Amino acid sequence: MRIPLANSCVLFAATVAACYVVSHDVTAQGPGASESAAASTTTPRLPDGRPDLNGTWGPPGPGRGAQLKLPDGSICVTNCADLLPPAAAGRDGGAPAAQGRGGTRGAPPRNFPKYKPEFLAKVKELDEGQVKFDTALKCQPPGVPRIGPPAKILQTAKEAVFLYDDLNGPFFRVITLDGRPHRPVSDGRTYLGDSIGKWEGDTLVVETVNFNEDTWLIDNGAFHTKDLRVIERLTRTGDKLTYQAISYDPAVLVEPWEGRVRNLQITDQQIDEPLRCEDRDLEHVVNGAHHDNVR
Amino acid sequence: MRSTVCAVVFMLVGAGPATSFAHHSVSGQFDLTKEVTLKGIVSGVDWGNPHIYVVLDVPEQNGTKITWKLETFPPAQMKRAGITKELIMGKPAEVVTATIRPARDGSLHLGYLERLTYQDGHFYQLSSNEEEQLRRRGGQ
Repeated sequence: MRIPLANSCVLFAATVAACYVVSHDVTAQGPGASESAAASTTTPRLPDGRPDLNGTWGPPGPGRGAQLKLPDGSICVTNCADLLPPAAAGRDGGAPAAQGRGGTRGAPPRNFPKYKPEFLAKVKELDEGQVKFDTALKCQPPGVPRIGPPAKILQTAKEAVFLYDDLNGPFFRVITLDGRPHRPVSDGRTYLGDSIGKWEGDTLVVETVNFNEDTWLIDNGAFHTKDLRVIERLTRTGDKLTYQAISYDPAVLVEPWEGRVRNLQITDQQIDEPLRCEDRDLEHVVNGAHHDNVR
Repeated sequence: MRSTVCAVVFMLVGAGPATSFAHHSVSGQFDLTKEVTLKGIVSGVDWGNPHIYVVLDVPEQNGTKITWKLETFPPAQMKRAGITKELIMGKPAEVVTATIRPARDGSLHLGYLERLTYQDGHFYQLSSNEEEQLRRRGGQ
């Protein structure tokens, strides 16, 4: 027996569309709108004058995991874009299905590192065998920059601590801000490397080195060497935070790889310790297909 | 008054932590071109990363039952959606309708959960984003 999805979707869409229009109008005319906008442009600062990056940071708007809720308790988590009015579906960070990440094997992501010709065959081999070779699919730390922007930042004048509630586990990075150099390589190479930071104006610039070679820059076979160097830039403006990572690995890359700019906003939601990660799927994957990583 | 009503009916959840969701491909493991409808009782929910599994006991005509394992989102994505383990479990012994995509490798009683509908009609739509992408391309 099939669910009469079409009929319920029509009703669902009509209800959502009608209510979106009304709620949108009410919000736009609210007396506190301009005051809120002014408040969000003020960048908090620590006693040392640096921008205060402390807090939990998430995607603006609904982001991934957005959903529609109905009065009867129904929740639509994905593939809801067709049910939204165009204005809602097209907002930054809108419904997941509207993001168009592409991303099956053979269709590289739009922003993919440019490898030297002699390494293209290796990338292809790793891409086609990602289910076998990609340690991130086996609950290992995803590395930098693949792990993406921190979910939470704890900051003092001497250091910033990045916390991640990653699907593969809870991870942290300590970024020293007191001018000390990187730890020696003899201390060991790690998944998330060794990070030091400095301020360039109001931008926190983090340099990370001493990586192991077990991680990739991104999906689709984007390997790196142990000499990878990643520069991350974080700039807070009001309640917004922009993040971008640039990866330097001249031994294999034609040019530095610039990850996409991530626009985040502060949130009062707390992060939790991720639950146990235990892959039980890879043995069932029949053709090595995988999707792009949104990190 | 109208705005109050609509705030209940249409709600997009605000920003949460920038948790990562990506893992292996759903289409590499499950056949997104095939749809199977099951009726059974949710007997358990394995709430763990990288994917939650819903355990569905489907009764057979001979009095036995077949236990299906249905993969769905990671816990963080469920949390953002406001769906808890208890909500998925439903009422005790409640018969629910599950729309699933079967495993491609021939594994019996393994599927990807697309939608779970309860006796009073409310549902959780959890389908894969890949499915949407494939559908927009005309399927493959």
